[in-house]
Amino acid sequence: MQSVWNFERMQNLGFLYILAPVLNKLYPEKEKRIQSYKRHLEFFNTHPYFANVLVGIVARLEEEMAKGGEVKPEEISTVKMSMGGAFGGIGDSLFWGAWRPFTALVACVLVIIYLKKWEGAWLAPLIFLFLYNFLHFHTRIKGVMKGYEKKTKVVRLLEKMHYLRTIWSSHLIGLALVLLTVVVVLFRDWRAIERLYFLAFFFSVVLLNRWRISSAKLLYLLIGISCVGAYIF
Amino acid sequence: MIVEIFVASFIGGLLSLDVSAWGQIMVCRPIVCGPLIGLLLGDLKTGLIIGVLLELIWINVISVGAAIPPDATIVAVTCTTLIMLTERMLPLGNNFQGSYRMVVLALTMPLGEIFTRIDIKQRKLNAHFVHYLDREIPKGNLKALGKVNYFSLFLFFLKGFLFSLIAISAGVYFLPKLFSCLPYGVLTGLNFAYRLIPALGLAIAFNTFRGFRYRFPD
Repeated sequence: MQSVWNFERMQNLGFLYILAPVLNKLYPEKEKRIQSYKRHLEFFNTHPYFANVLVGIVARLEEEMAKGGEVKPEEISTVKMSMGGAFGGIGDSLFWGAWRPFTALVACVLVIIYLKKWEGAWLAPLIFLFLYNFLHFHTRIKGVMKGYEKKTKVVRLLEKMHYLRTIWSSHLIGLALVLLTVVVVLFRDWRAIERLYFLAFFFSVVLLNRWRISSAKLLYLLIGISCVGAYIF
Repeated sequence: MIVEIFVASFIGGLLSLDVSAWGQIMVCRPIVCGPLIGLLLGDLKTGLIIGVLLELIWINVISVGAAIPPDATIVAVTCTTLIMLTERMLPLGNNFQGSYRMVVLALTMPLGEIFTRIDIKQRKLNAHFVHYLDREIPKGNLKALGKVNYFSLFLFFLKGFLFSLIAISAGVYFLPKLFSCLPYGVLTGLNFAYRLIPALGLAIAFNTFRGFRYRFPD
């Protein structure tokens, strides 16, 4: 879908490539087919998972237009623009902002807590893939079907997805999991001074990261401090 | 050794497709590709540890809209491969294993940034394909669309493959030499830093989830 992602019109070619079989079927005459391809060369961008909803809607609208309905080419273009933007925002905050960090955190916490005691720690990445792709494929498959079925009314369905609630609860559970892991790590067989360093470093990173200092810089800072520390003590 | 480098770079190329060009089923995340490389090179546990460390460090990196973040996949692949391949060449023992891993981690971190620069170049190049199709489609050459898509996909793969091949080969050659130059004090410091890395990752994860902007929806 995004292999020809470009800075000029973003996902236009990927979208057209997915839609091409539909267009080929709807417009057997070469002249009309070329016209329809040309129309879809325009700018298009959205969240890659929600693009399927748009594919469904546009396929339906193209079909109605080919059969002589009242749909106009400009209408299709407007639908692509407006809904692409809206779905892009929702998808970014739902998948990139909440669901992926949350599922990845679950896997990481499993590994951190159980690596020494449990032989099956290698299952954690599989758990991550399963949890993440459950919602991912659900969105893709449902998206293209519902988009085709309900056209632009598909927006109503989003309310039923409770995506705000998913974002909210994954953030809350994620926060609780992080704190739980910190406590578990602290109760390992460490010396008291090491626990103190761990906590001090944890809170200083929390503060520094708030000022938008990137994680790579923080890593170098950690290395620098501990090397200097090693010479002093 | 050479076969292993090639296999790892090939997998690196395939995994880097998953970042944006194809699928996005998230096998590109460090938590998956770390253990995967580990499994291929015969040490799953090390791969898992490196994968988790990198995943936590990069857990908040997201691509909003048109922004392209530093590439975590290429760092995870090169870092895990280098640690696996070079650790056996050095007499590390338990004391300095951590410090060596820190060296590799610190030196592979900037690769993500460099790879992203190349990525942006390629995406600018992709605009040429759009202009090409702007010319070809009115002429009736509809097959060009599929060709362009697959060619661009292949370029994405080639980019990941070649980049990790070069990075891993250079690392295998230079890292052991560099490491044997480091003084004892630095090694102790690095070992200490390695034990504190989970704190860094957890703190970043904490910040990621702390910033929720949404009230509980009714």
